[in-house]
Amino acid sequence: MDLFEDLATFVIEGNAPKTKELTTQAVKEGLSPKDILENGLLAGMKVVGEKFKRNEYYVPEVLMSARAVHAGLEILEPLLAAAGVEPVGVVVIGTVRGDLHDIGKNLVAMMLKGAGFRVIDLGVNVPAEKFLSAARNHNADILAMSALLTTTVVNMKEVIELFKRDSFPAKVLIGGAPVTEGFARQIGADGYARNASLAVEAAKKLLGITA
Amino acid sequence: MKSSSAIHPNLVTKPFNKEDLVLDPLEVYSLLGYPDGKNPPTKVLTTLTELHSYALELFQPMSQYTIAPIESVDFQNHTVTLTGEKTFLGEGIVEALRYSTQAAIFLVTLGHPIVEEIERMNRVDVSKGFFLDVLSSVAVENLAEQIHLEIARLVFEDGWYVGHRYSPGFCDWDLTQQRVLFSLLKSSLLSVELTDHCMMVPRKSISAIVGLGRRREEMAISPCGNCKRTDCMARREDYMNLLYQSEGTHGSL
Repeated sequence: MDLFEDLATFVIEGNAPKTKELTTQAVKEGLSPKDILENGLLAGMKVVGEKFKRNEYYVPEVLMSARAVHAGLEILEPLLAAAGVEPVGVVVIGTVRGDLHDIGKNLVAMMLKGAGFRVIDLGVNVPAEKFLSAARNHNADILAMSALLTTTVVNMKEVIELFKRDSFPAKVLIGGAPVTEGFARQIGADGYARNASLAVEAAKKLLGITA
Repeated sequence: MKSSSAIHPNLVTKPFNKEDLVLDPLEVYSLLGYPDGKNPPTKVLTTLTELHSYALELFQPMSQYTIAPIESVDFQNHTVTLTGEKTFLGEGIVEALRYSTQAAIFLVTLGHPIVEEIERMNRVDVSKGFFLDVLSSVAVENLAEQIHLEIARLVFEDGWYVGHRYSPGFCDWDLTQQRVLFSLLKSSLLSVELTDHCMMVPRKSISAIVGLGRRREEMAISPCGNCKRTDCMARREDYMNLLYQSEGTHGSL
């Protein structure tokens, strides 16, 4: 359908106003919110992800596209909720205690939203207890943590241990400049992402989503 | 025990002319994630240009520095003690100040409004928040470079040379050393505070210590040459040569 193709194109171009306008039009035309999401917004974002992998797009273009998806989601979210359409997954995200850096965390949150996840962003300097309480309240599938400093990255382990003690079943995804795959394994995280775009892939992989 | 006389013992605090901040486009592109030689597309450049002007309106650049004699460098216990018994701890900082007999301590900031706007923007449009954050990071680095250079010019008149700058949190220097560094300054005059975890608020601020010595060749030694972290973003090349050789930019230096 042309409208879906146009919607995907606006997402690929990172045109938030046009994406919002066309999403509104699609709703008015009586198209299903789920179809608008999957065949328009997420279809566009899938192309964006492929372009990123091929080094045709870089982080700024991907973010602009994610912003466009977000603009469309502002229209769709209440309708999706009313129709009982579930998000791809629920992610509780934050920068760990002691660390005020939020740029990487914000990028990951935006990318995950753009990929259809529901994201609960707890901000920066988040204590372990707050991560657990939010994960419980929102029934989170994934706990995502970020840290930029070698001195704060160690606080991730404290959060993972608290989740384990509480037997909360969320998968743990971590990232940040000092984080490596080895470090992720060492502290018991389930996944690690080198950048925001790869974080989406990693999150989907953790939940067994192949599309 | 090292001995030397203080050359500029007083604390200097002053605003910086924001029009003099240099935002190198290549540094901005690199921080945005583009590889060398790859320029952003028009849609990104247009947004960057708009946000650059906006950021300039919000920047409130300020600087502060002081210079103090180094009383002792203890290689065994990894300590550097300045006048007034302010002692820094760290293997790297001892190496960094090996040939220095004075140290300049400085703090620069872009102020609160830009950081508040980045945080607001992140809630509204994270892509613009990201661009504003990157522009501010490049701006505050340039501010630090320019104050470093100002100190270099100042002490050069008295026959001193500056070394590289070191900041807590980098080169494995423990972030808690920020407290010692701040104890040598009056950061309240710049409205910069440390959190319990030694992070600076507002975050677009840089604090550093710079060694001063009489022999240029000793001060020119780059510690990055011995560092195993070859992919470090903060790795510094022949900075000192640039500092002292480009006469067009740096006058009599």
